[in-house]
Amino acid sequence: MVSKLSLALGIYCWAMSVVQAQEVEFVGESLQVAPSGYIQLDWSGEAEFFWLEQAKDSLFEETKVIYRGPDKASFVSGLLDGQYYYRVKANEGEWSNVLQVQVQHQSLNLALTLSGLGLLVFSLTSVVIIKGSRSTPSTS
Amino acid sequence: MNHQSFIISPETGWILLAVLSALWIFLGVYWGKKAKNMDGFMLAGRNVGLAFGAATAMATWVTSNTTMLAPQFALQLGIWGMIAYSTASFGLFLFAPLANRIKALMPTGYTSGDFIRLRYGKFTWYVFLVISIFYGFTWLVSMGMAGGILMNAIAGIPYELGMTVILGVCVVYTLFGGLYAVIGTDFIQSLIILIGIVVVGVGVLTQVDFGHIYINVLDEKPMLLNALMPAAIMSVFNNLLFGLGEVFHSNVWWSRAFAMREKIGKKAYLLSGLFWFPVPIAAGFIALTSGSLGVNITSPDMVGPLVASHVLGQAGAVIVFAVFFCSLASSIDSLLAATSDLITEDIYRKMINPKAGEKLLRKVSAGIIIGLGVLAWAFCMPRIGTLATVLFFAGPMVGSTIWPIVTGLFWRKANAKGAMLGMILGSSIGLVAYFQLGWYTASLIGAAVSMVTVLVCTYLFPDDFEWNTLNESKSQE
Amino acid sequence: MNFSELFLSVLIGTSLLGITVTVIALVWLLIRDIKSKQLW
Repeated sequence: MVSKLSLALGIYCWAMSVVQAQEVEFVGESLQVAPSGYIQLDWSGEAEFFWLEQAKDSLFEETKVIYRGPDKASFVSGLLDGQYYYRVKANEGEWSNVLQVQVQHQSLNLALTLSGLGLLVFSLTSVVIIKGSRSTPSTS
Repeated sequence: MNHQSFIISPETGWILLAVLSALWIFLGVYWGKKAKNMDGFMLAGRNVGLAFGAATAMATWVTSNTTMLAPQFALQLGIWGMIAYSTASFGLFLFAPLANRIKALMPTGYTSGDFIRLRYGKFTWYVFLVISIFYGFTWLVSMGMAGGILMNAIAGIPYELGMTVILGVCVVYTLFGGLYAVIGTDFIQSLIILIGIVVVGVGVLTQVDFGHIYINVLDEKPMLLNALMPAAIMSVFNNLLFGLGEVFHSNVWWSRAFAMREKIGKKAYLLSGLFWFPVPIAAGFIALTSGSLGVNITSPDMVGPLVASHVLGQAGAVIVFAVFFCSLASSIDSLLAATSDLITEDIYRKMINPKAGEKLLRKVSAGIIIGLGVLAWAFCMPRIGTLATVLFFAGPMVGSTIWPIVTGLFWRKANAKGAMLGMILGSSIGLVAYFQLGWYTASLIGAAVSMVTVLVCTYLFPDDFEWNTLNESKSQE
Repeated sequence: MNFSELFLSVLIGTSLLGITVTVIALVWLLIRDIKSKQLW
């Protein structure tokens, strides 16, 4: 019984050390959906300097460096519809796991319908207020 | 956030914090001497003029949400996001006619709760108080959190300490000075905020030229310039209606309407809306420059402070610090005062102890201000959620109060059933939309559902309301 | 369909100008209220 427990503990410690050995890693799911074209990227790891890349393909054939510096997070926004891939590394270390972000903006029709509804509510409210403040005599 | 280098040293931060705190507390105590009775303490003697009236409405509406959330909006939702934020000034514009009406109908009223109780009766009043206090309190907590986050990010002052100092200072000067202190400090705070924003805006433009900023955004964040970005388009009317609901129902604005001298209210609110309109655009714009300035944004709610201090360096960072401190203080003090008024008047005096005299009420009110401060502090300690999510949770609730309030002020036929159902249905369906469609639809759906409910109920069960009922001084005679 | 650079620059320029005017207006209103003893 005791030996089984210590074996399990041993395996656990080994697993933990492997995880720690992989220096830099994104926090959270490795596939994310961004319905409004913005996403917060956070990563773990200890280093003075990080290097964050973005690519349109999973093989990182054409990459764009989007951040170089000591921070452990970067907020990306204004993305167009499509797939985006991110990876990060520390100094001269290994690349992290790849984070895939799927950007699909909400439907424009839904947006316009809701705006129409908003305009209606706003206009009717304004009409009630303007008409009301003109036609109702003050109580004095 | 600990991997950011701080913009000013903690020593400078503490000195600034101490100087500003001392100033507000001194002014609070000084102006507090004017408050000789309950009308003075709660409503600044009901005789506030145009300059203070317009400045206080504007300053209260310039919150940390304007100086922090407007840049966040711009960064997430682009140009439409900035404009969407500015539409919140319509709340002030449309409240202007209401302010005059309120003062005329209820010359001796104290709170928005007074109105709902007299107009719609007890049950609607309970629902309204729940919404109103929930909203006021969420706003207060989000402001306290913002204070802690800012002090930490700018000067490296630990979150818990910064947040505690800001809440503490506001509690102290509101406690001593009541609405006199709130309104007086609001004026000075408005000037500091406005000058600071112009300095930062102009500072940014002297460092990078406009064409460069534009091309950078077009390259790196193309969707932000897109005039057909769906989420941004949805946010325009949502934000507008959120603002409308916030201003219409909240006792923060009603107490100012009661406090202003007769016939000043309308003008003051119109002016404040006009004054406020450009603020989120100027504040939001700096977020768009982060790319061309090479500023990494570690979290969207920090974009404003990060860019501002990057551009202005040490001396500028001092201005930024002061601006944020003022925008926080001008809202926290108003919320403390207005929420404690609501609890003192509506819950203590009307439900618990109707015979309470002035002295006792003043004591109760002081106790409530302290209690609110302590409770908000307790909620701020764990630092949960981003600013927007916490506050926007209240969106559908306040959106659903628009129609009950407006029709209640102008239509004899508006009735309690419609008001109560409107608030309950609007809030709940709005919350469903919050989770199903996204936060940028919640206020809109809440307001729309409530409007339909109020209209249907007004048609089905028309009331015939006697306006004089609202004037408690008359009905008691 | 993008917002144009001109639109953006006008928007920002007007806003900054507007805020500057507000500061002046507030101070002017304050002086006027103090002179006519209508501050509060």
